[in-house]
Amino acid sequence: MSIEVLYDLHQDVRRLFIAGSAVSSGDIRIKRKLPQLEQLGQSAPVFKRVAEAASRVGEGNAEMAADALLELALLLHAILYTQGQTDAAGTLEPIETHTVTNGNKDVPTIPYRRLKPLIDALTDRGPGRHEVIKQAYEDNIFADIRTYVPAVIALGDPYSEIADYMTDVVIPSMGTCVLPILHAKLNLQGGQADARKLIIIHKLSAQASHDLIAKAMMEGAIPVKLAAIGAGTGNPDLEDLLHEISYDRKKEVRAAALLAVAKNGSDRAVERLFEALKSKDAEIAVEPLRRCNHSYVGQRLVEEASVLCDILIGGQLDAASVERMMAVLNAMEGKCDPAIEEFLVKLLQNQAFIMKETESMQACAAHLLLEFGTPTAFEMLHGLRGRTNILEYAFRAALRSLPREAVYDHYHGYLAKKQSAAGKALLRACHDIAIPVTIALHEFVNDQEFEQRPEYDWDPRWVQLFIELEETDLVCSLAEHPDKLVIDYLLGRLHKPKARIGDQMMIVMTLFKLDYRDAPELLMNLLEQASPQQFYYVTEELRVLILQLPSSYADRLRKLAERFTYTSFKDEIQSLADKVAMKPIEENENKGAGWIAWIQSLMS
Amino acid sequence: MAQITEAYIDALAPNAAAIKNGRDLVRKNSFQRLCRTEDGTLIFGECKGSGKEPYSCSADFVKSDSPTFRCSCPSRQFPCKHNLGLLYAYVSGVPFQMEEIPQDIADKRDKAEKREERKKEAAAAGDEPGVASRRKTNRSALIKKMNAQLEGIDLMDKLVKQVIQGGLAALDAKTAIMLEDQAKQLGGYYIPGMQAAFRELLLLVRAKGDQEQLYTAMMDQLTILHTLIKRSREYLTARKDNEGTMDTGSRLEEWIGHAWQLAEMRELGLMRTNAELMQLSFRSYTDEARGEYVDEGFWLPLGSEAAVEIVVTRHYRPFRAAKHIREDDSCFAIVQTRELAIYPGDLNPRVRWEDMTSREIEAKDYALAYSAAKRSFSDVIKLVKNQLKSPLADKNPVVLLHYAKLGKIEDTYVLEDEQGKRLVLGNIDAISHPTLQLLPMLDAKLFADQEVLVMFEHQMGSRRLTAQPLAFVTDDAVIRLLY
Repeated sequence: MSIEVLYDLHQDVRRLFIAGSAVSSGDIRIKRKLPQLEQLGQSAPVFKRVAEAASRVGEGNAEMAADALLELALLLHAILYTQGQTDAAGTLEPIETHTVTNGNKDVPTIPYRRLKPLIDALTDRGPGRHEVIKQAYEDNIFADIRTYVPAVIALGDPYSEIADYMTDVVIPSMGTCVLPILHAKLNLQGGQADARKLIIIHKLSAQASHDLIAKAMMEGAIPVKLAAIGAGTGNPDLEDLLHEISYDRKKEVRAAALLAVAKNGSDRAVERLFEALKSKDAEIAVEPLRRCNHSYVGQRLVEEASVLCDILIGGQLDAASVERMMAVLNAMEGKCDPAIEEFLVKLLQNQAFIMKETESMQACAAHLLLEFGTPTAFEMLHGLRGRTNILEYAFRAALRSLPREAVYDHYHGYLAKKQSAAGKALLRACHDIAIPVTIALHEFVNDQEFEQRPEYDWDPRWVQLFIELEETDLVCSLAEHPDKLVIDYLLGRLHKPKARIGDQMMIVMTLFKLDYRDAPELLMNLLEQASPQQFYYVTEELRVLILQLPSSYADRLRKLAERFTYTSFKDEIQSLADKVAMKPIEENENKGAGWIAWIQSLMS
Repeated sequence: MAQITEAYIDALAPNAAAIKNGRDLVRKNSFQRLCRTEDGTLIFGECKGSGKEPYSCSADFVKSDSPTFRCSCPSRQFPCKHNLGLLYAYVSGVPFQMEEIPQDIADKRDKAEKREERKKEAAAAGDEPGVASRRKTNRSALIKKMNAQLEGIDLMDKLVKQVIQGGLAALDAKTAIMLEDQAKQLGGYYIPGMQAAFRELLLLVRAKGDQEQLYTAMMDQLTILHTLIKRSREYLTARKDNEGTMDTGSRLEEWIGHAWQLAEMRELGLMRTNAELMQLSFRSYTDEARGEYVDEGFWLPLGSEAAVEIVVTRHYRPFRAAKHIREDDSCFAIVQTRELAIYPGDLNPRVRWEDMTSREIEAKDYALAYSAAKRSFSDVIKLVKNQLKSPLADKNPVVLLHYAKLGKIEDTYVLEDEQGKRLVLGNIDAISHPTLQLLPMLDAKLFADQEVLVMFEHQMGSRRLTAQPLAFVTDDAVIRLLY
């Protein structure tokens, strides 16, 4: 009770500090407290002193006001700073812990100077943080519990690489100890960061997190909802909820829910997907249907497609119907059901169906048939080559099923008029199919998914045709023999006045492949005539080419290196020159080999 | 040279960036030559640098407890990242070729030896009288200085009164700038500590944030300044008149701005011999008012004395010179020193040492911590409050407590001692680094019968005396919550 007076007085003093001691002398509120203070002062000496100090403020003169105020403040400070409460009433409950029983056995002792940079990297912004974090993970610094909270904070990092790294690698490695923090910091109405927290919680606690996942699915903000749906995929308990959510207002939520439902593969799931297909959500039903492996799906799709086909033939050619048909066709992708193949064949042969409005659908059907890859499909497609919109599919089908002479015979005619619709279509297909020199080399050298692009056997007459059509790229891709015609053409293009360095390199590469004896000389000329600033670094393709030079060229290469401006390029050429110098004189075995084989021989 | 560990190398490094760079060099295989001499006292090598020629660096352990580092790189850091990388490579077990000591290093060793000898001779010759003459204080100069200090104190008094009279609300940006200029003037009166205290006030004036809290903080600071002015005036006047000696019983000299020299402290008998210390916690913060980074370590003296208080090491690094001064770091070994200087002070005095050796922590050390921890919360609270009542005392005393139970009451963490007295834990403002969130992640054995290092703070707003845990000590580990 009596202490309250002092706290009140303290507030008064504070007020006077703010207002200034110029107005403090004779302060009313302090004056009013004086009697009470004096009375208390009779029982406790400390109150007496306070009373005295207060009276000097309340009743003192202006000159000593500042001093008096300070003295009173000092006195109150000394008293009140010792009145702090420390107690707590109530029963002491045990603290829940989530430590792994092994505990912190192998935690390294990490000093401030190694821990602080990591914590800064996790919580600040700026470059270079990803490296620091990765290194710290490799050094096992994340075993220290002091990194847990900053690590969770880093889930919200604006650099998605860091956030992803934390989500996929670091935080799951911390085990269940980090769960309390994740739960504490999870905000269902949050953004991407909270979505990540949910994903990790699910990863670490599986079954136990179901209620939370369900809650997030129903109440969460969009990113969190999507994460929850992802987490709930394939879980039979949550199927009902997923179905419910597939009717959500937001399209992306519905899409995610449908995908999740598809994973379940139940009858109910299939029903739902077809329901979506027939509705305005046709677009987002496509991917789930593609992935759904249920046995009915193929048959149902055919039924749907037949119905729609009839509608379209019947004259209802509005945008919605078209869209729906496309959706159904797209959903058929990747399915090996013979019923689908049969349907597609029938569809393309159905004269009534063939009209301008259905061209995109026909192309889609053709594409699907091509994927099927059966002899029937090929034959059928090839038979339809007369239709310009099917031409390129027919061509591909032919390439895969007919002998190469036949392919040439049937198709070269379409290129007679390069500018015609058919000509353009076929040419486009050729460009797509024939693997460009540089890309093939690049992919192989970089060990990339060398896409196993099918390598077709092209009749040699194509080369001649492409020479006539001046399609240099195709000539380069397809030429296999160093015929005079080919060589002359390529040399002509190489030495054209405004030839671009990229094209020139491509031609030289081709000449090497064709074992043209002057190819090395041409390469050297090309390099020697290039501008000194042309090359900034040695591309893989250039490296491979240079390594093809006979060892006699080594000195010339070294001299060449000096021409160029960029030091790193110079140095690389020098080291390549050294490698070339060490080559034994070898026979060339690669006469007329196919592209891929040639490349493989280079790298061995 | 036998025992180099990674931790040792980390400790040698001047800062965290050097550690990282040193390690990177090893990882990227930048060392072209790695050699050692047969007797194992020298490791040397060549490291690829950004220039054409590689840098040649070496670590010379001919004096095993103070190695000499040499490197041809232009960096002024010491040891540079190449030297650190060399050591890291050695520790990681990478093979080092056995080689003869290079001539230039052999020459340098000779030179260094000769220099040592000459120094020893010079010291032996001019020792006793030299020492005495340096220590004798010039009485008249001292009086001149104290007069200047008193003038400075008067000046500060005027400024403080000015602020009080005008009131805190009147302190706008313009007046703050004017006061800043005045504060600069205080620099010429040998009272750097008081100047820093005044600057603290100005920092609060310029700070953004909860205005009400800031006003309370300003009021507190003014109270401190008032006390400081009063007491320093009394003290200096007394010293002038009766030729009194320096005050070693309180931190007053430090508040005024005196930087205690080890030699001074030796003379005044403030040294403890043969001390052993165990670090329990560490942190590094920025003191804007002083313009310095501060590395602070909290240590438990492992002595046989009954009353053992936590002592503090404080390493100051002025902003401008920070790059060239070694950062201090967490220490996981027991420090042994023949001479421990103990600064005059409060419950947790500052300490400093010059030479030290170290040893690993053993079970007996943890046992000592167990017995040194304070078991009665009531006594500790009394002790803390006794300190807090004086405005010039350290507002955040640190104590090692023993507790019977650690638990929760609703959302609050609470400690309970053997008598059932409780202490509420909370995150305090003095350390802007929360540690309570780590409690649920600790091993369950920590929730009963252990020791905890806490820092106290009185929170005026809630009228509570709160304690924040900095580290736990068990029978086999120190679990740091801070650094």
